[in-house]
Amino acid sequence: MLIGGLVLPAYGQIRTTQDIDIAITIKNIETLRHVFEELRKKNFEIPTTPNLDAACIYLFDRENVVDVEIWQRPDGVTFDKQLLQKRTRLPLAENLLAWAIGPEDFIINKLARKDRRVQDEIDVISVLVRQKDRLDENYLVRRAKEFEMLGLLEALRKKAKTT
Amino acid sequence: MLDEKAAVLKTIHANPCGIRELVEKLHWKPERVISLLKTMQEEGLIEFLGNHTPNRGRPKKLVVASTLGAEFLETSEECQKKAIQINHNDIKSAVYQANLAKKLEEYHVSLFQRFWELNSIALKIRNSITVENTSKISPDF
Repeated sequence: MLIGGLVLPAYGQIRTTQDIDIAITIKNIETLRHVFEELRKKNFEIPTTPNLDAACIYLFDRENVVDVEIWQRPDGVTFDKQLLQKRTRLPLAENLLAWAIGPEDFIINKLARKDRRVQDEIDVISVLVRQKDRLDENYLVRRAKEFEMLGLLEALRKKAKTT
Repeated sequence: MLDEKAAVLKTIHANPCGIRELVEKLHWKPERVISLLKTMQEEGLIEFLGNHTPNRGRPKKLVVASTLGAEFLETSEECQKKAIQINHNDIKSAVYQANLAKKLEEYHVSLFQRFWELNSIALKIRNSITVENTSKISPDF
């Protein structure tokens, strides 16, 4: 499932991004090893060994010169039934559909990042404005509470409203 | 005061340095730094370590963050994350861009197509700069 800047055109503003963030959930090491093997065959550089405990696996796509981050434990994301229900299938290009994180989880993921930057907050504001009446409020608030992000979310909303 | 202590700890955390170097890095008045360091030492946030160099003169004292200091810095950074980082102009720009995307959506323009166009331009610029820099570094290549 896609997360991060690549998903942004679906919910918020359009901006450039230099990397691709993907969230995965893999339960056994054999499957992860297999994923590594396949990616290496496809010319991806993976400097680490398969590890189910790694929060993020960093890859480099040699062919397209693009960094790829595979998140096993993305900040502010709980892999559960509701997360899967909220994800959407995005038409990234002609004949290319990909699962992407839902708008509410996108917001919480951005806010909960340990290394949250100004750009993440800008992204969130753009989603709040564009998806104004389309967000599932109860779900968003519940997730915000789960990750102790409700205060920040409300403060950003207030700012966006008064600007 | 808490912010100032965090600034000192952030500066010395990865690279412990002498007081003079710390003053230069922080761009603060020496008296202010010395007084703050004294307080921080009393509070157990920093330690002074003797750095014996082969040079003549007084051995330089290195200011080092203690374990408590490292914990203080971590907590302080977490607290800072609680606050909003964007300013008024960032918000204005984000609202404008979101409304622009909304308009494109209303006109049935593919936002992903726009995104790929924009991104490919940006990547071409990035790659051309990389090539230019490389050719400057190694003109023989």
